[in-house]
Amino acid sequence: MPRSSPRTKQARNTKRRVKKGEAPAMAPTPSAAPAIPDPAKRRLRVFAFDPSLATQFQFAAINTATIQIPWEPPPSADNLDNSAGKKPLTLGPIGDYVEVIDHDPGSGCFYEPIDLNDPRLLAQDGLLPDEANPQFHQQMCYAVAMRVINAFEDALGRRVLWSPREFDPQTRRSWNDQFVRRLRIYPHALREANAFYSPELKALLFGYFQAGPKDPVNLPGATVFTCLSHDIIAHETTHAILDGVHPLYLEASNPDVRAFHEAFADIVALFHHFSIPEAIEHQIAQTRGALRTQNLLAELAQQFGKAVNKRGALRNAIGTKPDPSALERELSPHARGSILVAAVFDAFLMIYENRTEPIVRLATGGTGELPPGRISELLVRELAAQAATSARHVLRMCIRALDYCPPVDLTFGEYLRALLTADMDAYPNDETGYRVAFVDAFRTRGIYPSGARSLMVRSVAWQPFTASLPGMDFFKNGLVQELIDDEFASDDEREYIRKQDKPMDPERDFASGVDRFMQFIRAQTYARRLGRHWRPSLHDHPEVGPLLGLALGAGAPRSVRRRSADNTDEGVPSIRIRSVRPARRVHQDGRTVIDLVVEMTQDRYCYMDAERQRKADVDGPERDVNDNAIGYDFIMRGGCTLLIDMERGQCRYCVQKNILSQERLDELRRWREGGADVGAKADMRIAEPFAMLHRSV
Amino acid sequence: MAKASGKPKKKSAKKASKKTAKKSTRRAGGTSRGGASVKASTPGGTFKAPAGGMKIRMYRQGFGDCYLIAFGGENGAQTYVMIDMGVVYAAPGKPATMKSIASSIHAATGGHVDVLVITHEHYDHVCGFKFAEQELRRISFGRVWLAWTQDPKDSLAKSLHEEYGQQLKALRAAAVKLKAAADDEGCDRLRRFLSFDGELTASKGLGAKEDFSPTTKEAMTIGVGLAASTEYFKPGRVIDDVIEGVRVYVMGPPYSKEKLKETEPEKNEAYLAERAALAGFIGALSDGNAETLRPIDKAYAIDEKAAGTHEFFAREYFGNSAKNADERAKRYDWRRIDASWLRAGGSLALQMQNATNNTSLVLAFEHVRSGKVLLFAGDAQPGNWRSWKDVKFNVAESAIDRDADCVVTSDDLLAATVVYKVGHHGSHNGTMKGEGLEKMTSRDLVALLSTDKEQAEKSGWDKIPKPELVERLMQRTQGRVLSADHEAKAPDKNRPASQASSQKAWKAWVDRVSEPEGVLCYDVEV
Repeated sequence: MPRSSPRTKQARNTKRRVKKGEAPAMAPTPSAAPAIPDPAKRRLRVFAFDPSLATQFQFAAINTATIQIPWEPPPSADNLDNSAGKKPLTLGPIGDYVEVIDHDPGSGCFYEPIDLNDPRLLAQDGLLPDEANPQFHQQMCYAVAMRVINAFEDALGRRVLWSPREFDPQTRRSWNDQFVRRLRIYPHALREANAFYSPELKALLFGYFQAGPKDPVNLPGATVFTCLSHDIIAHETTHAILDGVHPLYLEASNPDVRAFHEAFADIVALFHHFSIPEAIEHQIAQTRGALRTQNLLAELAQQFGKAVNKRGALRNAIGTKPDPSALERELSPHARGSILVAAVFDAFLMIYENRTEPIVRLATGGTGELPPGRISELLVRELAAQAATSARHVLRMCIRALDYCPPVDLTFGEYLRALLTADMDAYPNDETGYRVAFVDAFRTRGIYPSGARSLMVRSVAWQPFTASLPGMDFFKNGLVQELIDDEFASDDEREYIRKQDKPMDPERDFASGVDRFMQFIRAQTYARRLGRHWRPSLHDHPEVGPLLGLALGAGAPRSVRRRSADNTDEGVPSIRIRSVRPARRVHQDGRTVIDLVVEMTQDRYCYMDAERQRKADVDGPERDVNDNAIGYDFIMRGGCTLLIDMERGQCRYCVQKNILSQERLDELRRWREGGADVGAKADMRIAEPFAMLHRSV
Repeated sequence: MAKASGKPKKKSAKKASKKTAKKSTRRAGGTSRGGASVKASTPGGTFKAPAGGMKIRMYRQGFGDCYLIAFGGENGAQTYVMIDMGVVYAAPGKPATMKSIASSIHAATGGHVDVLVITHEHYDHVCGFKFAEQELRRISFGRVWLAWTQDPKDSLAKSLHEEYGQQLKALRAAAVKLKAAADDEGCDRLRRFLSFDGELTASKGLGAKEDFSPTTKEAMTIGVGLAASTEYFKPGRVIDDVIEGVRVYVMGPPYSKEKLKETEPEKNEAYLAERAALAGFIGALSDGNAETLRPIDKAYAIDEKAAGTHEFFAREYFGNSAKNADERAKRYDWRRIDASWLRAGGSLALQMQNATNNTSLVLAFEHVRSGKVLLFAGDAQPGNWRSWKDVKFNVAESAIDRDADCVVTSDDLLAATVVYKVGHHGSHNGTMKGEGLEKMTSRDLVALLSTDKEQAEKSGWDKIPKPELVERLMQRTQGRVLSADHEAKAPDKNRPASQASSQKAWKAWVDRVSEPEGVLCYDVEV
């Protein structure tokens, strides 16, 4: 994937320095010598899993690891102003993506922030892993969160943006989404065995607690810090990233949605284990290459799990027999999510075994039967490399699928379809059989795509969109030149915004060097432009509604929310353009091209009672004196995700959840009646939905 | 007698309820029926078991327990046992309901109750003692039976009460702090729990909107004081000198702190650990001395006051660089977490409730002549249930002693159980399956379920009663489940469609149940 190379960054930095006539303060270089390049990576030490391994003799050797994350430079004259593409890393650590603020309200105190740019720390890859030092806790949270962010940027080929703050609670201006530059991390926020991503605070809150009296690995009564668990940090960071891509997945409109959130966070945490070479080699040696057996790599949150539940890791991807009926029984997000995690892990195992089978045969004179005892170092290394590659590929597939998922109401089956489609776009040929492995693994866990004609990969993947949509010329020729005023934009940023006056060009507008705030503004600009110039053409052609899952034109059922409350008699249903973002894929001729992902949603006032529904479809919902809709039982959302080929101005895929679907409405009614918990019934959102363990209220 | 009072009476009761329903503001519930019946001269009328028989009255006040059992002696003399008297806080019209029940008991027993059993100290089992104190004082009570956990002289009980007191203190402190931090939602959640325990009036600073009186403790004290004689029981005791023809077996609560802490059907260690995990939370709030529980050495800490002027935190957390309060609110305040940690109080409150449920006095009444057993499990949770198998009762001779070794076990008692008062209102942790319900193998089994779905939901419990449990109870009892739910179907409509029981057997059951006029309850002949 083309991402701006370090070289171009360096060139830009050098140019600026020369222009401003400043030499780096620390190491003055003779003018003739080439400038010292910025490092590409920052190396930081972390616990490979969590502190509990340090006290278990068999794992002590792989207890710590040094991980590499993208270099965020120290503050300098170049990067302190807001418009700089590269943000500095300052005290906290506070970088471009995350800010660690170490407040411990339960103890009534704060902990001094770490300065990772201290030369002494730069020279030794940060602080040594140390449970007792809160500054190490800060370092580890930062390092692991950045690493997860980096994995997403690599897979998606664009920069990670957090979900915007939806409205100002005082003015309730929901149309003015507020940019949130940094995810906040509180390493010591809670005094309980819990940790969560809070969508409301755009923050990760980690807890600490006393280990139980019968804890097998922790000293009874000793403090366990969730912020020192590699897995928990990765899991919670993933929740935040997913929320940035799909904010409406907070709404549990079917049993899969929240389960998917949990599963996806677990999948990312799980496959991150495979990027720590020491850990893989150690475990490959121990299991003699058979990753199907119990091993550390397939377990999540060891220490936490053992501290709260004597039986072992909090979650374990393997060790359960596939049970296709489990999906019907399990409705709680964690239990249901673990089915998806297990399916993905099964696919990974198939891929890994497929890749290593020839190697094992080579090593055994063709028999494939390993002799008893330890296996050779060389074989360990080779198998470990294959495991790492397989894991990287699987993780990438899982992440890339996000752009091919519907904007609301995701099901596991749809996720599988999205995953296959995304992979076909990234790797048109599947010589290695990855996609077949996924279909097979999902099938054995009872996850079937609804609506697919067969289980052939081609049928399971989304079918290409071949119909023509009105107004598509706009994608080829439309201009983006709108000024978006953001009250927190700096003068530099405002200046930059005004300069925009060009045809839409995602390659330029969402390049990796572009500041994330600018990317956010540009995405909004795109969305508004599309709203103004393309959306009307959809309403002029209501017949394409069923293709897009939308209710179009003035004649659409009146239960679908109109553009504004006073527009009840005439006027077309409101379509909210939720997201516009670039997605990279490999063109048939080998080039990497960018598709534009456009997500649109609609709301519909719904009733448990069919008769009332019919009435609202004809007359619209009841309204109060202020013309707000009242008396409806719940709101159903629908809409679509479009992948648009910008060169041809053609929609390639349309993933839709029809707003007018009777089937969906019936499903939703059943779900609200039976399975959904009280919180879900109330407003389909519950407070802090992403706790590691659900708080018992 | 019961046969005669079958259907026609039911109809009239329904008519009466329709009339009073109009007066009731919230719902056409039984409480209004009960309330209306205060004026009736003899609500429910007298209540007698046939000579040498037993009869149980289950009051249907909603989500809460109140039972009256009549044991008929050979010569027809009656011994009355009353078990608990309460209803959940969320139930409407509590005082009127409780008063009517008290009057009904007075009328039913002729003003004398031989034994009052108070299973445990929870609002939905004791609040009636306060609401109907006056009416109850007109009844003479022979003795009060309590679990050992209520014994002020018992050292283990004392230490449990101290622990509970400290937790309650932490919970109140959390509620007050949440209120101060304007986290009304968080505060309300804790308040809901505190109100369950009726403790809110005692806590200052919450600005309670409603009158949460009485406190559970107050009601409990009144209940205990109703009789001159108080007895505390540990498991293993057999009481055979109080009720003619009946042996009472004390099955629980276990005399073990560990067992009492087992509150969930599975993953017991997990819950033990979860309790330990909140030690820091409780410590920080109850003794005001965070020093001992600091997770991190003090040398690294900057206290909250100093942080306000600490350059980094002043800028990044408190937002002191903001131009004005408005900007600070917009850019900084919304992300603060000063009160977030206090919401863990919800988990603590639940733990406390569960632990108290486990202190339930569990009694099995063996009708010696017939070998029938009535099992009243209170709100016992798994730790209590699991302890039963270790209890051995030495009895000279008993029909239920299956291997005739003069030792009655819990398995013997379960096998002979013909009436089961379902534990903990039918919640997921109130009835053990393999070690409980599945061992109640009598073909005559009847289940009494003191639950009310609507009141449970109002209290925040959406899974009480647990549907799977209700389904299993229906199977095991062949449909003979009586629910306190106001909306509960009359027993004659409860018959499962696919049931094997014959028409005749079903009719026999329906005839055993009557609904006396004037107060909402079921009378069941055993």
